[in-house]
Amino acid sequence: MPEKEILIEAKNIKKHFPVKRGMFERGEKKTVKAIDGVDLVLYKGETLGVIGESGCGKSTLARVIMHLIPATEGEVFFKGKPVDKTNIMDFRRKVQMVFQDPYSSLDPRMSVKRIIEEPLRVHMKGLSKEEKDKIVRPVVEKVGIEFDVLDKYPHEFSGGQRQRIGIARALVTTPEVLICDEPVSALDMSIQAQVLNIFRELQKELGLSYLFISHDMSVIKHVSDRIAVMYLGKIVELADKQELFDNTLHPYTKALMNSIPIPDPTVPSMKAELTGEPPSPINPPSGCSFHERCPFATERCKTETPVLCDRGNGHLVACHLKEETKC
Amino acid sequence: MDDNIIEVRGLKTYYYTATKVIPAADDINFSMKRGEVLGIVGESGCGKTTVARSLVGLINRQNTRIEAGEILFEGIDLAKATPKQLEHIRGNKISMIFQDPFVSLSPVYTVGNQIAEVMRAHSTGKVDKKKERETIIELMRKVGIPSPELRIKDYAYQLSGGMQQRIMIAIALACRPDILIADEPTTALDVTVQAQVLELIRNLKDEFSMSVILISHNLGIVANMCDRILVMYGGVVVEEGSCYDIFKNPRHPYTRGLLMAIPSLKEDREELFSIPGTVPTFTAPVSTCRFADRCPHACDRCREKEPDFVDIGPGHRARCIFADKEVLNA
Repeated sequence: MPEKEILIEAKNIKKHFPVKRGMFERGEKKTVKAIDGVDLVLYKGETLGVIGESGCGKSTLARVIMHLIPATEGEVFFKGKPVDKTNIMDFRRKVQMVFQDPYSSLDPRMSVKRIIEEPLRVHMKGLSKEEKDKIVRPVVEKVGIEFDVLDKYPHEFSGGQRQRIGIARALVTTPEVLICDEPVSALDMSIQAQVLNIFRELQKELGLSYLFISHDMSVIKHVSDRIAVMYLGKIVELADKQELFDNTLHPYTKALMNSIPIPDPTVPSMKAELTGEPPSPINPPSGCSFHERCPFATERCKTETPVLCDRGNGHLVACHLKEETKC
Repeated sequence: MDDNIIEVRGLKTYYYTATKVIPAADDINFSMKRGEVLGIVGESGCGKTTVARSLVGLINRQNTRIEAGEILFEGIDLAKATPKQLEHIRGNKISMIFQDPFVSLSPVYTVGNQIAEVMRAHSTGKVDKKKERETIIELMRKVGIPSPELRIKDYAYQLSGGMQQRIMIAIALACRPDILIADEPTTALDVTVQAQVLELIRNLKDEFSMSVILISHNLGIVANMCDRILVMYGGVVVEEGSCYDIFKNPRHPYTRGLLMAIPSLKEDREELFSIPGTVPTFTAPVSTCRFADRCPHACDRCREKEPDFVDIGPGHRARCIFADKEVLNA
């Protein structure tokens, strides 16, 4: 593999939330293991898709990497340097975030112009009005919003336009990485395509890297170069897109793919392969957290936690059944 | 027409605000046979839920009116039925399940109680408590709830999303309805659970020999579940046809655009086709083609008057003047 520049590296990230104990509850304090040991690398210019069902920790992962919430354990490196208090501002300038809900992520009392300029007020203090306009204008035009309408307020825009505003806000500090947490799942189908196209154009034009989180496999497949599949706070499989689809190894990934309804009546799709639902992260099953739903689970899966290891070609999987090759 | 279980003719449901009239559903015509699954697809605000709610009278009479049209079901016109008549039909002959099961279930009654409530409301004789309990447990088993003897005493919050939706289905099926209206039944669920719930609906449909109206914004779900499909846009049905027609030979520019806009799992497309503009909300009765502003083929004729349906094949028609012309293929 050619040497690629590593932008973000997350090492053994853990995020445990304490659960509030009820008045009469006794015994040990419980924790939700939202993320339980995730290693992740984001290369320059690539899109790493993260897919998983609700509660698997994918949004928490984004927030921990962004340092919006402190990690319980583990470290995030940006271009080889650990991110800490001294360089967090610099990190946030280079790594920006696009949120899921374009309705609640824009302050209704600020004009759109103020919203988009806000990162400049934080990261590049003391710019004059003209200087700000000079930065904002090309950015909003890139995402397909006219500069003249920026005096309006968020409620005057439609969902798709608001998401464009969210993207523009993320772009004004000329970041290298965008962390996108379900950026299209609140949008209608016809608008979703518009926004996905914007992401693609921006990447081509500005050489951005994306950490793209979604629960929708078809969206993830469309945008990603590499895909990480999460289940209950852990990455269970990670591979190049083509490799993941051609040579799916983990039974969960397989089930996930088979349960997607395909918009073609001649293709039999959508088999309910799994029974049950993702277990609660408060009390995760012992061993492999997937073993209760896995059709191939053995005794070993119930007791021993599988580790994520390379099966060649950078295809990582955490499953005992695939351990015929050395790890 | 005798084998049609329900027939909707020229249904118009309008919302009224202080200053505006919103034509949420305009001139809706369709009919359904026993055992058929009819899909209604469209984006938010296209009127798909309004149509479904109009059928069972679940509309707010303060600001919503069924302006015109007939909904013929078992010899009665539901559009003009009295609240009393509707009460007898709702939950009994026509049931509905909703998008978010947690919001639809009561937090203060056990799920068993909530299933019993429907059965009691629609039965005339005295209830035999023991028999009722058995029926409920049997019903819960049918919708795939493990150990129903224990779960019957649970409250909604004790169940997961998928289990809650199964309870909703059990409530809807308690009186063995002829028609089940499922309004985005799996949108709040994860994909692996979604597949389970859809399979359940499909199996129960056969077992109870019901007809199902499935409302969804997800074309994949509709393709997998439905026999016939209505595509809605801006309050009207723009295309109607068999599942195969809609996906293999779409003849309305909107249907075509939608199908091209979804990222495909099979092939990689560099760029997605996208329909320009945004989903409109109309605030006055409309007299043009509602898709004209976003349509690549729109001409003056589209803006003069609302196009009529053009027949394409048996049961397949589209509301577009170009529906049977070659230009669409360009």
